[in-house]
Amino acid sequence: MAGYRYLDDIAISDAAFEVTADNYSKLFQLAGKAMFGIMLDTNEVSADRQFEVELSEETIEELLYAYLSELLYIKDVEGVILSKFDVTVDKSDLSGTVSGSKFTDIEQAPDVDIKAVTLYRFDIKKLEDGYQAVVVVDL
Amino acid sequence: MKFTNPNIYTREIPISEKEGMRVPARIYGLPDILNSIDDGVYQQITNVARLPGIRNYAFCMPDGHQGYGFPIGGVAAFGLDDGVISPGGIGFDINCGVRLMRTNLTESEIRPKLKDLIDLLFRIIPAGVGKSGIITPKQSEFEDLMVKGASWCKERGYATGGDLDCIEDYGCIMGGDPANVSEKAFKRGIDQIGTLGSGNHYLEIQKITGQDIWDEEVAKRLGLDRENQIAVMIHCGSRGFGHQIATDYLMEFTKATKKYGLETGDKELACAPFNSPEGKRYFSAMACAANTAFVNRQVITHRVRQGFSEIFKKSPEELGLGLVYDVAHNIAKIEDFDINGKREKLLVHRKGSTRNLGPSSKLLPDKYKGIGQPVLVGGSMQTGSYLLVGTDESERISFNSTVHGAGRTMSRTQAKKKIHGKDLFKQMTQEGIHIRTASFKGLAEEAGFAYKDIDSVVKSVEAAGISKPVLRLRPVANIKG
Repeated sequence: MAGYRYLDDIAISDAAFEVTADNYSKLFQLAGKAMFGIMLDTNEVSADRQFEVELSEETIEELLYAYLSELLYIKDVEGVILSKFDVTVDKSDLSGTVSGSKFTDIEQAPDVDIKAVTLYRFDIKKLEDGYQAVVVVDL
Repeated sequence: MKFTNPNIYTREIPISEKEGMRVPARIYGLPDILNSIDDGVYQQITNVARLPGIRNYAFCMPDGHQGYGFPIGGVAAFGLDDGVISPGGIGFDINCGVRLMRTNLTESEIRPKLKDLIDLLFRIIPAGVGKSGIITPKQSEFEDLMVKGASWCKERGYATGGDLDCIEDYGCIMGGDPANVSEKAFKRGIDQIGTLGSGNHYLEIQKITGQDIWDEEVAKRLGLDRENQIAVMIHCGSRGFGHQIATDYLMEFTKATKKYGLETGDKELACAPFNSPEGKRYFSAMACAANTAFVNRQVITHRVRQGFSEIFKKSPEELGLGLVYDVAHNIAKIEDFDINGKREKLLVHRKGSTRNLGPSSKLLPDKYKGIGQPVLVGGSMQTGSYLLVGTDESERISFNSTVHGAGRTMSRTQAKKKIHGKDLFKQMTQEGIHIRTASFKGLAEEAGFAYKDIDSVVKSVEAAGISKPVLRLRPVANIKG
């Protein structure tokens, strides 16, 4: 049941995606992949640069927002596209590594940049057999 | 959703429509525009109408469409003592805006050298994702520029004497304090001064033809009255610096909303009382981002002058490369308005909306007194842009606010499905528009058909008595970020 899809109808000038997974760790890993997939095909981006991520928030929603925002921060400050997300979520704590490659080492040009993660329609809901998150990002 | 039409260009949603609405919501537009407004706008503008301290109406301009928090095109003014400030009413790209430069050149003079000019500008002005800035200030210089705005550029030789008069608020929003900016924002922004960014950001060479001038007298005052005269439009904002400040405070305001017992109906409308410690700190940080955006556009302007000078072997003065105006369209500012017969200071949020001063405004620089503030309406990269001037009546009609662009009607994905970037490139080349882009797929997202008809958008604000069209600018060449 794990996967993600892009939602065309809820963000005219921006981009939105829905992620489904059977646990929070997988949900967060896929959310990272879905977000960077808006910029370019991350399957072709190697994971030669690694960054540690450690976050703690009060709620799981706040943690997802903080995590995705942290990935965009790493993108700009380190000049990388992230393609691999080895993070583990325990309650509302997250730890692990994310990896990717320098913009300058990637052949394909990103279609667009992502400015920020919005809270518009931002949600994590419990399904019968897992979790589903909706995220809208500002382009 | 129920609404009334008080006149042909206004749709009004009464406070009875949604629980908690404190004022009615008004959407401006002629019938073709109003009939195409998406449902998201209705939901979002009525959420705005619920925020504490809002005055008169929650407005949406004719270029409006669904955004996040406020709709794009959203305008709302709040009392300083009883009102709120919301990052979702400003946007992540704080002080995203447009500036226009004039030249003495005509299209026939520029065409033979157009390719060389665009290649040079594309090389010296970083565009697209992940590009380093034209200047990399030291930490202390960065702190200085985020407080001073465009005057910092004048001190460093990036601005001429006349430039500052031609920038909204003279290129500086007062109250910026670097102490309210996170270390993350510093790190994210310090290497991006003088970059266009991506998406719908661009640098465009434009032309003005006689048939596109509606007000010759005003066009002459603006120095834009020659047949086939060339102008340069720049559209960009505060880059990662502003994005990080907005992100930081959105997280903080999520908690503040609960702390102050505020009900918003949308998490993206997280807010805090303007006079609270959180509200004051965000306003100060937002001012830092806004000032940095003014610096960003000014440094790019400096490079445009250098590029033209190199190609045409003349000084920027000889080429007449002066600034016409620079406007912010994602910002919150303290401005004075008459409310129930009393003058009151209000915090006006404009998200995808431009300030629009009438000819009698005391805030105008001397050169624009009597004609009104130039308003730059950045259209799509294919169909062109407009220059308008504000009316005195807009103070009453829309808190001195007007449109900012054509307004999207089609999602980026839909646009990419409808045309391939390389086909659009060919089409635009056939139309005489020379393109340099960091990404062809990104170009497809900006096709003219993905936007509203800019003529209808402009006619709407004219019919509403908000702004007067002066001239239209048609694209000659575009560097797409």
